[in-house]
Amino acid sequence: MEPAGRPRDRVPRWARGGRGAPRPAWGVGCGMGTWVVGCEWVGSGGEGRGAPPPPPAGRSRFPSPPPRAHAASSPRGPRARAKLYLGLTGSFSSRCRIDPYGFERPEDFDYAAYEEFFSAYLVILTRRAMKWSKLLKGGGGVQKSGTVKRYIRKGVPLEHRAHVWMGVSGAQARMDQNPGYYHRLLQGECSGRLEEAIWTDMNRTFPDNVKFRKSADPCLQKTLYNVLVAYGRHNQGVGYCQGMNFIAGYLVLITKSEEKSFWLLDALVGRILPDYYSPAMLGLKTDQEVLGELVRTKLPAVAALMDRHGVLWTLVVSRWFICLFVDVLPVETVLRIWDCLFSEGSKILFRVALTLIKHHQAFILEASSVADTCERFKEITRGSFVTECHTFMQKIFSEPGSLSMATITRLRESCRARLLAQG
Amino acid sequence: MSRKKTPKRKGASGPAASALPAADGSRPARPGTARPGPQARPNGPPQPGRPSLGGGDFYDVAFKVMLVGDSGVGKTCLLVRFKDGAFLAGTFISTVGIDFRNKVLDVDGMKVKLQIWDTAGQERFRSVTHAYYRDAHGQWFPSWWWWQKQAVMALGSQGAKDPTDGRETAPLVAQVECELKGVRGPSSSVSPTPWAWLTEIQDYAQHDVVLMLLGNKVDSAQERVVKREDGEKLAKEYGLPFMETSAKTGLNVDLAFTAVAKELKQRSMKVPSEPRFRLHDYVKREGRGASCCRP
Repeated sequence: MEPAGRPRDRVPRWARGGRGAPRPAWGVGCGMGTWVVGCEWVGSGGEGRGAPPPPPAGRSRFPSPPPRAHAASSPRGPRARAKLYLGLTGSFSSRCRIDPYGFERPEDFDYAAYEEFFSAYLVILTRRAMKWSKLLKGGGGVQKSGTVKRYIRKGVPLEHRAHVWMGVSGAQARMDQNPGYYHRLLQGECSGRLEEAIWTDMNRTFPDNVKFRKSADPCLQKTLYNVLVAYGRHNQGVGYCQGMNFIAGYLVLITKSEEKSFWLLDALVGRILPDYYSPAMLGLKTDQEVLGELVRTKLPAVAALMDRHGVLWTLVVSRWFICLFVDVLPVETVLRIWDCLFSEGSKILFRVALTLIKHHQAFILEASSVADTCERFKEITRGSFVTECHTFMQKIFSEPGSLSMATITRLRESCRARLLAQG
Repeated sequence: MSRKKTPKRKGASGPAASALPAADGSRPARPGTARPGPQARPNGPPQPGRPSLGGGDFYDVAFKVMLVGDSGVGKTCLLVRFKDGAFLAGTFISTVGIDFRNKVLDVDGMKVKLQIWDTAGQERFRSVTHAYYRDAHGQWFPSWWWWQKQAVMALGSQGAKDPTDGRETAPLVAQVECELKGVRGPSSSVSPTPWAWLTEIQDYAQHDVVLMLLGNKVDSAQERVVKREDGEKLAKEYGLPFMETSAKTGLNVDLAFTAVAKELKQRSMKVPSEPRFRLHDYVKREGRGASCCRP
C-alpha cells in the first residue's frame, strides 16, 4: 500500500500542472477527464501557479469567464478560469488514484467504464456550465424559481455548488442575519460529552480521503470538528449524531468554508430533514416507514417480499436516510442528489430510494432470506446505474411516478402516529 | 445432516465510482426459500478500497452473533480481525446503521457459520434498533447496546437454520463485550452503564441467549482504563464468560468467537454422547493474558 504522504504527493505529477507535466488534451470528447474540486486542489501547492500553459485547441468551446463576483478569487489566465469555471482539471488521464474530491479510488476501480461515462458527461457539464453562467450573471444570491429548480435538477456546476446550495436552502439568509454567530458558538462553553463524541469519529470520517488525513494541509479534520461542535452547541436538542460527520464532511469538501458548512448543516438538520438526528430519531424512523408505505403502493411485490422474510425497512435503508446517501452512492451522484435536496427538500430522498428499488425490483425479488435481502439492497447502490449520475437523476423524476408532498405529509402523519403508539 | 453449499455471490455489473470491488457481470439466479440461508458476500461498510471479503461456502449450521458496545470501542475492528485476520489502523469508518459479515468455522468437525452483525454504537441508535431484537415473525433479530465508552457487548442469536425450509429458527446467542481500554476513556473502572446494557438484553432478547463479555483494546497496557479484575468482577456478577481481547494484535479474538460457536453448536445439536461444553471453563482455560502483547 502506498504510504500516506502529503496530499500533493498523492496527486500524480501530471495532475498538478507546472513544468514537466504532460500537456493535457483539453476539450470535449477528447478522452477521460478527471474532476477536481476547482483549481485549488490542483494548483494550491504553488507548482502550478506559474504562467498558464498555452491555450488548448478546444478553448473556444468554453464559455466566457465567470461573473466578476466569482472571478475575484479565480486564478489568472483564461484557461485556468475555464477550468475553475467548469470545476474540471485539464488532466485527462484515467489512472488517477485520487478522485477530484480527494477520495482514493478502489484498487479495482473500473477506469475504462468511468471514462466512457465521463466523456459523455463532460459534454453535459460544459453545456450546463454555460447555462449557469448566464443565469448567475451579475452576481447576487440565488432565489428559488421555476427556472432555478429546473436548472438544479440538471446539475449545478461544482464552482457554483456552494453558492447555489446556500441560496436555495436559506442558509445564506441565516448567515447574513447572524453575523459572528458561528464564531461565538466555537468560543462557547465546552460540554465535554459533545466534543468527545465528535472526537471519537474524527479518525473514522473519510479515512480514504487525503484531505482528511492528519498530514493534509489544510487538514479538513479540524474544520469538520469545528463545524460539528458548533452545530452541537447551536442545536442542543440534536447535539451530535453519527452520520452527521459524513454529511458535514461533504459540506466542508464542497464549500471549503467552516461557516458555510455550518449554515448548510443547519439547513439540512434543522429544516430540510424532519427530526432525523435527535435522540429519539423519530423523523428517521417515520421516513423509513413512509418509504415502506410508498413501496407497498408502488411496488407491492417488493413489499410482499419484505413482509415474507420479515425484513424491517430500517435494516436496509437506515444508512440511506441517515447519511443522505454519502458513502452509499458514488460521490458525484450524491452531490447531484444534494443539489435537489437543498432545492426541493426531503422528498428527493424518497425519489432516490424508490428509483433504486424499482429499477432493481426483479433482482431484489430473488432474495431468499433476511440477510440475502440486506445484501441485495447493498448491491443495488453499486454499478453503472448509479455511477451515471446524469441519467440517474433524470430517472428519479420519472421512474417512481407521481409523488406529491401531500401524499408524503399524510403518510408521515400516519406512520408517526403508529410509531408513537408502538412506544 | 447434509452439508449445504451456497454459491459465491458476484458483484453487480458495470462501473462503480465509489463502489466495492467485484464488478464482474451477472449474478447466478438463486433458488428460493429452500436454500439454507444467505451466503451473502460479507461486506464492511461501503468504503471504497476495502478489500473484498470472501464468504465461506459450506456449512452445517448457522448462527447469528451480535456485537454491541459503545462508540469507538472496536466492534468493527474486532469483526474484521476475526473475519480477515487483519487490522488496518486508520481505515475504519464509524458504523452507521447495521452491517454483517459471515464466517464459517470448523468446530469439532462441523462447519458452523456465524453471521455476525455489527452495529452503530451511539446511544441514540438504540431507539432505532430496538426493533432488531425480534423480527416481524417474533423471532429474535439483531440488536445492540452500548456501555459508556469502555464497553462493547456483542449479542447474537443462534438462528439455527432448518435445512428444509431455510427459515431461521429461534434459539439465540448473545455475546457481550466489554472494552477495558476506551480510546479516551475517562474512568478507571467499569462504568455503571453495563447494567443498563445487560438489562436491555434481558428485556429484549430471548432468555436463552448466549452472552459473553469482552474487554477489547488490551494491546496498549499503558492506556488501560479498566482493570482486568474489574471486568472479571462485572462478568462474575452477571454470570458471564469474560475475555480480554485485542483487535490490533488478535489476542483472543478467534478464541472468543470460537467459544461462542461451540456453545451455540452444542445448544442446537444436543448430542447426548458428546461431553457437555462448558463455555466458562473453556474461556478460562484457553484465554491468554493481555501481558503477552505488552510491548
